[in-house]
Amino acid sequence: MWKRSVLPHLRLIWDYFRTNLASAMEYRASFLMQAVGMAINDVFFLFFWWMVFQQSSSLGGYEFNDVMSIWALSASTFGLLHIFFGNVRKLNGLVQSGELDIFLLQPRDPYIHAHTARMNFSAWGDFVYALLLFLFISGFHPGKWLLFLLFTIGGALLLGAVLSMADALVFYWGDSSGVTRLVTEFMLNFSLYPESIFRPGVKWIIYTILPTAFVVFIPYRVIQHFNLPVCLGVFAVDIFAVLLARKVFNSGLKRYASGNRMGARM
Amino acid sequence: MKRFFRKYGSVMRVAMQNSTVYTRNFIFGSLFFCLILFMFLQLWEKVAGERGLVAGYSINRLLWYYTVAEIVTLTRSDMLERLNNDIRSGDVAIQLLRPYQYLTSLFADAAGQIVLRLSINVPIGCLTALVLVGPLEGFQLIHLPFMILSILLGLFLSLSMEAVIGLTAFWTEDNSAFFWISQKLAFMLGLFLPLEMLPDWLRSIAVFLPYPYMMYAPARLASSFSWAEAAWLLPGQMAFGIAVFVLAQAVYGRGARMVNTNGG
Repeated sequence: MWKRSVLPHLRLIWDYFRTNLASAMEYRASFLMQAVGMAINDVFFLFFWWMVFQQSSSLGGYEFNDVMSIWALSASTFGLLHIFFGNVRKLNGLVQSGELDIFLLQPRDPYIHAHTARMNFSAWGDFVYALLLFLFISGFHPGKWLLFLLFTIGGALLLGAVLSMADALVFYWGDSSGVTRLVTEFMLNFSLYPESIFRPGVKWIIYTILPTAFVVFIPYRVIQHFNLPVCLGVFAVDIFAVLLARKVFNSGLKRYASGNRMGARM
Repeated sequence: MKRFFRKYGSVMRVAMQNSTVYTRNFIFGSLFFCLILFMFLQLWEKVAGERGLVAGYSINRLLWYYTVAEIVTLTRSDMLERLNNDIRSGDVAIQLLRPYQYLTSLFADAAGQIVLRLSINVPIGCLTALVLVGPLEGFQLIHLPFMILSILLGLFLSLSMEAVIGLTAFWTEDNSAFFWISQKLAFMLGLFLPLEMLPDWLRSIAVFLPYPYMMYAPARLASSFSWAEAAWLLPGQMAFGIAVFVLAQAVYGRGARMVNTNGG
């Protein structure tokens, strides 16, 4: 199974990554401007939280460094997701324009192929900013860095799975852009504030239907105080979400009618 | 003058009609508005703790502050996207042939979208704030015209700023970074942080920038109205609104001269 199904798709993701990066380098100034612009954009929020903590030294047990670590996890997962799967949140457009046909005609899994075909260049700004922020907050502690990177990969997969499920509603509704935007905003907003400010109703949401707790809050606790069963539990949730999202995509795909669009990919 | 209003009034009316098609997106946008207010309430309640005050704002006033600031922020048109698309695709050359001034027609189009979005965002925002914290403390009907004027001036200034950024597409391949940075300056100098929360040195710089006049001015006048503050915030909004609009026209004038067309 590994050799026949997982490995070729990992190679596909890697090949797209290399090709997209080479294409970004072709327009270096634009790429750098987008990435640096996004990093500066993120720095403004560092200032926001610094100002918030001027008003109160602790938010339900969370201090400035804790919130910055959550920010680092959130920005790294969002960045990594959009670097490797730049078409996430773009399925709506692909289906409406008939461009999905291209991925259906090729031998690789269309769910993975359609999502990995593009890279979002500004996401590099998020990712690099997150790494620098985590380095600044935690220093170079190999164990913490290993967990941070593993949770970044797992979180990116989980975030991508949730967003792609929202996007797959395009197969049923004809237009899922509004709901995808809303789910993105909810997932992002819930992962950028300390968990301690949330009321019980919101906590229920972030542990179930919009699982930001598994993207940032639980991973952050595991990074602080390592706990193997919890760590494995988070990765199990990540894998389950990806399999579920693929199933939702494939069910929706049965309702897809080809756009009969002619085109060429260079 | 009559012809001017008839011509650009038609553009505005068409934009309003077009925008009504996207009702589902409006509903999702409204849910986002409610979420943001709810998040702010949870955050600032925690910060205020038992004192119940943050930088002189009670939780009630602070939430109403965010409601008005978000109304200005979320009542956006697609001016930036239109400018980027038209300039990059070269469609601007065709627009220049039409019997109106391109940039003014974009402002009229944006005004149509804004009127419609305001008519949704104002009731949604006010209703959410009412449910979350109750009526605004110390509200007087006599302040209302000044609040409305300040919101409109804030929207005009934001729109003019978007036009300036969008018009840089004549020279740059990608101007999204300019937009993000400008947007975050507006967020940090007014939307997320009222000027009262900033250190003195930053506040004294901020008042000379256009950003606090976009969201801070209307939100401050709505949540904590005083004649003394209205006396400097409203003229400040007008001055920056006119200055940035004139700048946008000047940038457009230079950019439009760079457009070359080839027959075919």
